Amino acid sequence: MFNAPQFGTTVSGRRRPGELTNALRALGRELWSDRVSFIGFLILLALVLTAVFAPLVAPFDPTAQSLRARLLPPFWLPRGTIAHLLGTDYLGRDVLSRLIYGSRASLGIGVSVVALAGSFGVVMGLVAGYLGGRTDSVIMRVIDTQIAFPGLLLALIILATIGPTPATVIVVLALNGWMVYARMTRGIVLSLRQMPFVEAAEMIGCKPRRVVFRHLLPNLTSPLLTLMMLEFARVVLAEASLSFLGLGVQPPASSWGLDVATGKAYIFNAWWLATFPGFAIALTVLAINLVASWARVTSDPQEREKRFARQLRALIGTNAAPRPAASAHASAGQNLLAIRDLVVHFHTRGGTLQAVRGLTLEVRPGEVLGIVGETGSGKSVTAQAIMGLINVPGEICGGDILWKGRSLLGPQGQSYAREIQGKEAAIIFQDPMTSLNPLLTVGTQIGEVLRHHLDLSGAAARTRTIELLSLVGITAPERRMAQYPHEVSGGMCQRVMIAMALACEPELLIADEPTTALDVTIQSQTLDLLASLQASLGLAIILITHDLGVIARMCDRVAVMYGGRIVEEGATAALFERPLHPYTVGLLRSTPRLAAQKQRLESIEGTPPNLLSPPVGCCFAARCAWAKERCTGNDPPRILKTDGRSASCWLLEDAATDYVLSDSGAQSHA
Amino acid sequence: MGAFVIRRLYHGIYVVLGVTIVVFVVTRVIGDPVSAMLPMETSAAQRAAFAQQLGLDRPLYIQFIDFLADVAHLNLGESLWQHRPVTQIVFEKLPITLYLVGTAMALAIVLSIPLGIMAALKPGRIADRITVVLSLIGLSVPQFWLGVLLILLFAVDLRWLPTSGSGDVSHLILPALTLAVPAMTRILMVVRSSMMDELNTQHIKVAIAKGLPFRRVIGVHALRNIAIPVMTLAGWETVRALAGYSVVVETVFAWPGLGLAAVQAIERQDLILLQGIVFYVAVMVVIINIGLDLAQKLVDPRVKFG
Repeated sequence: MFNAPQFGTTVSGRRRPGELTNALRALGRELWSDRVSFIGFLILLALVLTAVFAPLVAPFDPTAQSLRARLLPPFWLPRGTIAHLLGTDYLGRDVLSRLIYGSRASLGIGVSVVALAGSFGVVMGLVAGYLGGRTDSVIMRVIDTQIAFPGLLLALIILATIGPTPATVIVVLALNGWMVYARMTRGIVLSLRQMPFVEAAEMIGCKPRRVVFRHLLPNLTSPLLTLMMLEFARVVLAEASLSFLGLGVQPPASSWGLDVATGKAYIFNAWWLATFPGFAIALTVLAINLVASWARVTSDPQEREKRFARQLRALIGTNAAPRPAASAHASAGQNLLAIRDLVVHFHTRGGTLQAVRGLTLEVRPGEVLGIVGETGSGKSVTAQAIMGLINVPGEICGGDILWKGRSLLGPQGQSYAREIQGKEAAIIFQDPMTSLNPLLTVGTQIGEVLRHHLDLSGAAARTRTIELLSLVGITAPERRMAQYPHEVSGGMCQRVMIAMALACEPELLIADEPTTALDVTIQSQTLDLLASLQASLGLAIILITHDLGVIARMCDRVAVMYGGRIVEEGATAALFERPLHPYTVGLLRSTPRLAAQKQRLESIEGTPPNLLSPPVGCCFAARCAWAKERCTGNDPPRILKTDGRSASCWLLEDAATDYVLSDSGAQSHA
Repeated sequence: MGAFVIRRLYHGIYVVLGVTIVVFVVTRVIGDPVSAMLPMETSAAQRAAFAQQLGLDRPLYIQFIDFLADVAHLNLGESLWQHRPVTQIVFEKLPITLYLVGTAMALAIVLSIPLGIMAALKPGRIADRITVVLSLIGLSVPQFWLGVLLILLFAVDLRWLPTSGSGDVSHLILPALTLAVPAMTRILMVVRSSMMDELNTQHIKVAIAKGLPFRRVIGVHALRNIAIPVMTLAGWETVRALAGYSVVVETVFAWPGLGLAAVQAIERQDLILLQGIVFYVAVMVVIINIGLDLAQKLVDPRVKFG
């Protein structure tokens, strides 16, 4: 069965008038974009029309017998005639006509059951969700119990006793199927009741029920429709099975399932009798399933992106294409890590997002480099690119990443990259709880790094794991090793991550916002740990954060990122004291300080650039107080100064000597 | 764990009781058991005597209590058609059905898991396309028709396999295949989508960033995390096959198991046998469900027995 429909983001109950036509138009566009489902929709439409206009469409009366024209094969075989396109059965009745009228039974019963079960189920779900308490538990008990019943067998025994007529079949099938609707509706009502806006409404005196009701319909419609389509398909199959077993539609009425059953007796000499009705069932159910699957995907934005990503994978290759060699830099030999003009794109349904647009960076052995920038500046993407984690829909489109002078991109680069990842370079992420596999113990996850990269035996790996856990300050390491991630607290989990990263004594540790998800006191402890490990092991660290305080505390050098590239770089103290790039100025100014008196919270005017279509020229120009005409025309290159600082700003080029950025412009630094 | 089992048993009793009530109500209240059991020509007096003989003229609640007592002793009456205790018939036919269902489910799991994993690893490529097409077809095709088509192809046209009955392995192939296809389809879809979701999780990215070989990332990390939903689904499919689909498939292939017995009981108006089969199947479903829940809790270390 399909995954149960997810009711994704809750939508507001209010709609504006023009929205309806827009919604319909968007719906039409979506339907057309998914051709296969569109075909399914057309087939379903054709079937419904055939069923409704059966007397007009069918060439014969389905019950008309003709002893002369018995068991005629389809028209393309010898003895077949055009008059009976698909042949006749053992009583001379036209197969095609029986198929057409049979659609009435299948579709009619299907629709009736879905309507009946759906209404009853939704009402029960609403009652259970709204009233809660005893009513809810009684209804849930009934649902849980009935779901475990052997549905088909009970249907058989009931129909055998009371006699199968279309009405009884509909009632029995509805009784078997109302539970899913009730469960889903109840789930939606309950989740709505927990929404913050309902609680807020309750606090100001509104009855929560009224609020929930107003928001109920839009949230219920989409999953309910999808469920109804899926159930429709299931009921058509169920009715066919019942008719096949003789307890559904009775002769002489036509039903596809019934015809397969009677046709089976003639399987040796008249194969068409059993084949065509079954094919009709399959086609109908297929069409319904296609439409249901389309409904499910379009109603959930996440699913739409996933589907887009899958289609993308078929089109674009992996990052295995060799990159053109980037220009050599003089200090290449000394650097641990060198990134040259890195370009990373993400392909989304809305366009191509240029996450990193020409990034150049060097990291020397033993130095602590901070990368600071706001959300969306490309910091994490850079880290992922270094560690080989960029995958569809992301793509490294240009530039190079060099580890100790060797490229990590391209086919040879990638196999070299697999060797060093986890061993010479390691990464820890923002959320330690989701970074560990919940079904493996802490010890296993650290141990596997040791066993793979260092080829340690089981016992040696165990010893080394205990050593590592002690190194990061975890008490009782033997006990911790056997624990699962969910048994460990957040701060301790981050320590485990650090231990795992340091297992093979790497030369570079990338920490992607390592303390953002932790409490302030734990933050401090974690940073202290990182600092002491850095001092004792002499490893280089790339510390990615948006917190200037962390940078000030930990880092030797800082790189400021904005709009997918580095806008300024230099030693921490110098950069904080005398920022060169207008964005850095803004960042430093907007950091609130405890010591100062009451002050307005400063912010940088404007909004971050839209990386789907980045602006021409400097990406910060729109928000820059010192912007000139040149800035919106040309992208400033990275300008290196003699003291090791650099910034991508035209101001730097213009100024002959060092300058200070203030409100009145770039002034000479005395 | 003991508390958990007891709670599930408690729920199970509700289910069995519910089924028993439904069956009782259907056969004795709505239906007329006397007319069902006697030929049409019997006179009213004869019917009344027959009813009295079977105790069918007593108040309903007394009949129900007696019925419950009988059920507790596993005395489900005697089949009108075979004149043997129902319990005996059920226990005779059950292994035959289990043989078929077991083979079918094993086939479904063995075929679907590798295909689903391959489809998830290389989306848009051949394994994925096959999976999507197979899934759509497998979900839409009615099982009884699939069986008929297979008979048409392999038994009638090619004459490789027999059309029906049970006997040696050649009789098992077509029914097992027919029963396996829908289950295989659903398991395949869940394997593929679970694997796709799993490959996008943070912990898999971390495992890759640790430099572990892909074999280990997929085989140990990813597989373990999809095992639970896949196992759960496989369990449900087994239950559905046992309780429902086997009836249809056994009818198509004249496989002499419990499902066929149920259909034959209907044809012969043997409501006592039918009643017994329904009851035993309900009990079996409850037991299997409890077993599945237990297995799930045991495999997942995150869940506590609460």
